[in-house]
Amino acid sequence: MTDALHAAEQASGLVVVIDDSRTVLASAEAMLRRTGFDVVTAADPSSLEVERVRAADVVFVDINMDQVFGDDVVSILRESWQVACPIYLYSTIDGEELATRAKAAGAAGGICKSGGTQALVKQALRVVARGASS
Amino acid sequence: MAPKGTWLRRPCCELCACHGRAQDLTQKNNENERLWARRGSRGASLKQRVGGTRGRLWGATEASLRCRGEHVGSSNTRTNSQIWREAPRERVLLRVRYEGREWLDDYAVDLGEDSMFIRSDALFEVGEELRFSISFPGLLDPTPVKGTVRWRRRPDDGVPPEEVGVGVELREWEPEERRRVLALVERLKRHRDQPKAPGGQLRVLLVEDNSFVTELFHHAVVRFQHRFSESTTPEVFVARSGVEALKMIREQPVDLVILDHYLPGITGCALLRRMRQLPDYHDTPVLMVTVGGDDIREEALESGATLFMNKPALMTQLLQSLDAMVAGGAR
Repeated sequence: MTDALHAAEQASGLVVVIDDSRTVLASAEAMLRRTGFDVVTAADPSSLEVERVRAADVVFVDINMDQVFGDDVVSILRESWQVACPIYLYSTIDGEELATRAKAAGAAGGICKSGGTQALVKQALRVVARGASS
Repeated sequence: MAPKGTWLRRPCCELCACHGRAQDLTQKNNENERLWARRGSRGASLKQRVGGTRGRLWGATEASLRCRGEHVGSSNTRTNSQIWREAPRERVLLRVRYEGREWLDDYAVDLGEDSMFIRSDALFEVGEELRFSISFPGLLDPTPVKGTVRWRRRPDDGVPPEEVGVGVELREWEPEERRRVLALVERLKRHRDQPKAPGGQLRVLLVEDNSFVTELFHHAVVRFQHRFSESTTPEVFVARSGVEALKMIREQPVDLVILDHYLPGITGCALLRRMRQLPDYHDTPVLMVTVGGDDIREEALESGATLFMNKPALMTQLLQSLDAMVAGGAR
C-alpha cells in the first residue's frame, strides 16, 4: 500500500465516489486528492452530472444507501448513463457476498470497507496504472 | 348435493364418477384425512375470503377429496398425486429460502391453504422434508414453514423452466402466520383480477422527487414490460409532487402507479386517498416505495396501496412486486 501511494505521487485521473455517509466521502476525497486524483463525490446519485461520471476513470459506489442500493446504481450507470470505466461496489458486508453482488450488478469488483479509504486509493491507482499500460 | 366444504362420508354421492375411489385413494394418506376433517366447515369461508367468486379450492388435500362435494367426474382414472398436482391454487410470488441452504433462492408461485408449488432447480426428492421461510418484500417478513415434497417436475419431464419445481404439502403452519399470508394473497388477487394486458403497452405513473430513484423505477418498468414484449416500451409519466400527479391522472389514465410517501406538498398517502376516490382509480395497482417503516406502511395500506416496499428497494424486488400486481406472478 505504502509503495503504491508513493509511486503514485503523480497520479492523475477522475474518481467518482458515491456514498450516503458524508464522513466517508470527506475522508475518501481527501485521501484521493492527496494522491493526485481529481474527485467527484455524491451523497445521493441524483446530484451527479451524467457527463462528469462518463468521464471518470473509476467509480466507487457504496451498497447500502438511503434511497437506492449500490447494486442498482451500478446497473443504471452502466445501462442508462453508458458509463464505461470500471465501477466498484464497496461495503461493510463480507468478501464473498460482496463479490457475488458485484458480479451480479455488473461491477468490476467489490471492495470491503474494512480496508478503509486507503483501499479505494489503492484500487484507483491500480485502475489508472492498468489504463496507462494498455 | 352436499354444500361445498362439507365432508361427506361414503358413498360420496350419486353424481360423482369416482365411485368412492378418490376417497379410497385419499384414505391411504391419513394426514390428508386428518387435515380435511379438521378443515371441515371452515373451508367454505376460506374459499370465499381468498378464492373469491371463482370458487377455487385450496391445496392438495382438498383437491384430492373434491369428489365428496365437488364431483370431479373422471377422477377415478387419476392418481392422488395427479389430482394433487392439478389442484387450482392462487398465483402469488413469494421468496423461498431454505434453512441451511441460504444460497438457494427459489420462489413460490402457486399457493394453497396447505400446499404450494415452489419453482426450483434443486434436486428434491418426493417425500423429502423441507424447512424454509417464505417472504414478500415490504409486506411479509420471512415466515418459517415446514413441508413435505409430494411431487416434482424436472427439466427432462419436458416442461418449461418456469414449471420446474416441487409441490410441497405444508405442515405445522401457525394460524397467525397463515392468516398473514392469506391476507397478502387476498390483497394481491384483488388487484390482479382487474383487466390488464401485460403484452400491450403499459402506462405507468411514477411519483417521486428523487431523479435517480425515478430512473430506477423507470428502468424496472421497462424491464418488466420487456418480459412480455421485447418490442414494446411502456409509456411512463413522471410527477415530482402529489399535486402534479393528481393533475396527470385526471388528464391521462394509467395502468399502474409507483409512488413515494414523502413528496413536496401533499404526501403520497394523501395523494393515494384522493386517487382512490376517482372512479377510474378504485382498483389501479399502486406500489408505494418509501422510507418511514411500519407506521407509513400501515397508513399506505389503509390509504389503498396495493403493495408497500421499504426504501431502498432492489430492482429485483421491484420486479417481483410488479409481477405480483400486474401479471399475477407470471414469468
